[in-house]
Amino acid sequence: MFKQIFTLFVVVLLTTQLGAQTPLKEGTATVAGVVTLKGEPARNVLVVLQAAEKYQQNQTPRVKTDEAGRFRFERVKAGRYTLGAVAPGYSAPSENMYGAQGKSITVAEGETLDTLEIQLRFGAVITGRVTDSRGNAIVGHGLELFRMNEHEKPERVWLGPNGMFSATDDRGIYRVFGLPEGRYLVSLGFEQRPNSITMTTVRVLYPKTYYPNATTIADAKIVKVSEGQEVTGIDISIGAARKNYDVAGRLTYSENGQPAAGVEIGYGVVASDGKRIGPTANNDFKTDANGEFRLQNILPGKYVAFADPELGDNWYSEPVRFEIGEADVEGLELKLHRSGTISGVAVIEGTADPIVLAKLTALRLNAFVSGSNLIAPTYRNKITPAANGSFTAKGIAPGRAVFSLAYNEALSAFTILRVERDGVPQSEGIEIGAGEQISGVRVVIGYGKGVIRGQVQVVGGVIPNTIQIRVYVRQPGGRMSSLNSATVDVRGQFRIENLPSGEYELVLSPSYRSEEAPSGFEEWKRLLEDFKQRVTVGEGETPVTIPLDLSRKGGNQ
Amino acid sequence: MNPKLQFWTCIVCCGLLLSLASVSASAQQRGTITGRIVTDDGITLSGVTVMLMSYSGGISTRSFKTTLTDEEGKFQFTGLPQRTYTINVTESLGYVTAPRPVNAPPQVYRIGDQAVIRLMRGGVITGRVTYPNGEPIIGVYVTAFRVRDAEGAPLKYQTNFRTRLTDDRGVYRIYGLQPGSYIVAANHSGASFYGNQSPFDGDAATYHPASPHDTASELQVAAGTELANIDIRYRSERGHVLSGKVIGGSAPNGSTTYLANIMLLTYPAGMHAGITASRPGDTDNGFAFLGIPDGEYELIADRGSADGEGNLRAESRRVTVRGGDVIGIELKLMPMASITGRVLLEASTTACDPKAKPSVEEFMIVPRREEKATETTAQTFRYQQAFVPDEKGEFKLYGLIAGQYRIASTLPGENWFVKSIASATGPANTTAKSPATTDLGRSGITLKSGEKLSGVTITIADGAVSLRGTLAPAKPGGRLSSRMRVHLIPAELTAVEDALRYGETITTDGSFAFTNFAPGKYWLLAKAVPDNDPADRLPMPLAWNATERSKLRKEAEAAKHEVELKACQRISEYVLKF
Repeated sequence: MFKQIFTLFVVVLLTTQLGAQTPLKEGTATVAGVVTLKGEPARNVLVVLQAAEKYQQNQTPRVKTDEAGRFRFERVKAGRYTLGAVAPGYSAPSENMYGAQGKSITVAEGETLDTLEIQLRFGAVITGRVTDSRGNAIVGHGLELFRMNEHEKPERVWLGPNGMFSATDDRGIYRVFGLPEGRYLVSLGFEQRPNSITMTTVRVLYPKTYYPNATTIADAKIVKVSEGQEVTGIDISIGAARKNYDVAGRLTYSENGQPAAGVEIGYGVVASDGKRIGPTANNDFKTDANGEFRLQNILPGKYVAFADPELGDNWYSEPVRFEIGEADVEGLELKLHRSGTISGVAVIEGTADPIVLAKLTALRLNAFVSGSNLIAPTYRNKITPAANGSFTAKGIAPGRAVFSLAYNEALSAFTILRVERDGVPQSEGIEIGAGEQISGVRVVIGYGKGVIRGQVQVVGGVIPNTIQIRVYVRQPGGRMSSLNSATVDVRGQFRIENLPSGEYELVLSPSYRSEEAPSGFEEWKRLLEDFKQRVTVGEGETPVTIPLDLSRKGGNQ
Repeated sequence: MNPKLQFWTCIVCCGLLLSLASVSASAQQRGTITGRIVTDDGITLSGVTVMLMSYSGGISTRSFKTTLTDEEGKFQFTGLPQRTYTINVTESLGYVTAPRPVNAPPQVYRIGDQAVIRLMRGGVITGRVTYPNGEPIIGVYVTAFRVRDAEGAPLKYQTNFRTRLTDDRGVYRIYGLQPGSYIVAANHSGASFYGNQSPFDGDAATYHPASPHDTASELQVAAGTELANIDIRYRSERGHVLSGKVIGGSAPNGSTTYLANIMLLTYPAGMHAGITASRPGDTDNGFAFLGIPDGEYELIADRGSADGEGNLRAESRRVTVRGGDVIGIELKLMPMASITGRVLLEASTTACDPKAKPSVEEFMIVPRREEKATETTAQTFRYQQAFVPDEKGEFKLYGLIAGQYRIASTLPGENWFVKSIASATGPANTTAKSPATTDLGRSGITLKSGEKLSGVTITIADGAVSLRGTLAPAKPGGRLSSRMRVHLIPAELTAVEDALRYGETITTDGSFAFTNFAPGKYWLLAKAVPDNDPADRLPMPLAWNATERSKLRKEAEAAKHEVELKACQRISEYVLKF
């Protein structure tokens, strides 16, 4: 019974709502087109139009194609969407088997997009058996497939949540279907990537193994499939599962050496440069009455441990390094030191509407402290401004504190414009020393529902599909991440919402979808680095055109 | 199995609280739990992940630890604080845990224990899903529901299911099935919980061979066997939409972190028919179940919170789907009740084992709600939780729906029994010399919706007795029925109303065990369990009901199986003639 309760709970957290077949909320755009298979119309295929940035949307519009393969979504609201066909067993461009991804499109009010085509192809099949070194079946593990792109770089193929579309059965047999033709790496197992942390719970961590039995990509054998082909016998032999270990220690107050009880202990990866803390993990490990703790299930590697005192406590700890080899680590000594506070006032700018101003106390500030040196990251959240806007953030470790607003969809029209200390903008955060009490900080919050509707106009070349461009909007000279951003879609369009009226600067930044940077990525970075464009945002939509001259690419090296 | 694990004490009472001592919080000892995995086919499972979980602190914070079995299938967890643990084999390679008797206590372990985890080879159901023209159906979920146990007894909560997708040939293969009877459905609405868009959304489920639910074929799966060719001819029949919204219970600080979970069960069978989530928020808190066939259903909704104490729950709602969509259902979330209090270890001069020093964190408390005959399936479903006191013995039992509760406990070892459960009554009155108390061991605890009851004291005493034995037919050649209920009834007149002194267990093999009971005189009584009683539902102990209790006493008095157990006495081979 208990197990069952637990299982259900886990499932519930993973739950996303299926779309009800309800028409879209009133919009004025139309999205329509045709689904084809080998040039012929594909009928009765499900097409979905998923709003791109709505997490767990309740009502995803969906239609089935008619006899002529046509689909049509009407009354579509302006916004960003992913358009995809759900045709298990078939493949479509930039889609994987179950339509996890599709075409990204941007729709404006009143617009009619009716020449869209989704080209389905017969999916290919790769099947085989996974066994351990003694020939025992590996049961219930999802495979990882990588498709080689045009630059011979492996790109990961999405195979469902937790790899459920590719999981081995009780005989160790897997069967991945609906694959686009291409060249694949077939693998199973876990690889600790540099600068990442793994919180193991229920997983067996087999070492990453590529078909047929390679531990590195270089030794992996490529599996080639053509459209609709079935390739069998892609068997993998895998090594022994990895063990994980414990770290035990004690936490005391530096002032008097007394044990600190009931304090959470976290740990983090030491970044590859050895100077910073990378990702951190916290598993609800707390010190007992003697200040003792035991962190569990840690994979071999270099880490730091630190105390993470409760919100409102005025303590911080300095991280202590440890390394997990092939044994538990005992006797780690952590200390708590007195921390600093940052107090000041939060104000909403650019509106006199009393209803908007009254929402100040509903906003929650987060303060994230980091530093260039090895310091424990402290994240003080849910800092609540009083009715007069005053706030105090306690428990701030020495370093640089950056404020942000806690995400709340109902309050998404609010954004932090800037943070000032004694009237001076602190665009890189507020420097705070050990135990320092800082006051006179002003967090200026903007309110607005302005929209930038943008079009990137590419001349002198094309953007390869390995590169994704993101547009950031910031106050002139402000922090890049301080405001909203959006990804440029295949048509070169983007849309940024919830902007307070005012002057902004648009900046561009490239990213990539593959595991590694594609070739020429540095050039893209340099090309986009210099780009800045000013825009004045009012209350409604502001159209913006961004010229991007690719002929300059590589020219300024 | 380690004999130390077999207790499920029911309830207490008693008169005076004598000198009470709380357990000291200092200097916890640490220890080890070792174990091994044993399979029914004798195969050693090495390199298998074993997960150890503990409840710790005043709330049931789960912490966990994993390890791997060695070449001999053995495992070990070291450096463990003195607490109560559960062990899960998460990597079972197609093996399943043997189904446990419904009245078995939660399988818990404590430091020093040697756990034996018994696994059996799971069964397999495999087949093909096709359209009537024989064309395969690709990428549809197929779900196997366990509807009867291996002995053929019906299961009330048919929530034990496994799901797989069909491949490009329409083939599915569901493995790791416990022995029992199954029904298999394609595109069951309860299966699409991963939220992928599916071309089959909105279709009603088709059961093997080509039926709606009521005429589904039951398939018997024996341990380790494979049933092949369990094909499903897909009916492509539209189901209905059942939708609405979750209202009420706005989260503090406008937090949108937690989802409301909505669960759909068939009525009265209690079969899992769907699970979904909605977002708390101003506008977007709707939910919808698609592809629902005509029938009677129950909806339950709840919402978790960071610490569990802020959990909300809606009253369960009956819904009839008949020929059309049902929309606009509102499920109102309401706060849940809680009980706070303290566990006290009574100082004793007659300790069974003077060296044993249990930690109060090794006690587990399970609030059990009395089910009423008129109540619906979902009323108590999935709300039973175990709690552990903190190092000071303080506990908070939360997430409780309104109703009448009894406190069940599992205690560390057989030396202890629950002597009384009491609460201070009326407003706290510091001037009173001896505050009035209510004996909750007799009355049970009544909670209103959202009520926060405090000041409950559970007193644990040393000197517990235990009684193990077997049932034997009274007449030569007589037969026992497949399920028997064995009762332990206090013979003393002073204990007539003390529910803590009554024990009740169900046996399928004739063996029974009562542990963690107060010393005294008892009667034993055995009764057959009706065949149509669900096998996965812990029956309400008869002793909780005054009328049933007096009937039971009369029968027990007439049957004359009396046994007197002195403090710390353990009887292990009692033969109860039935």
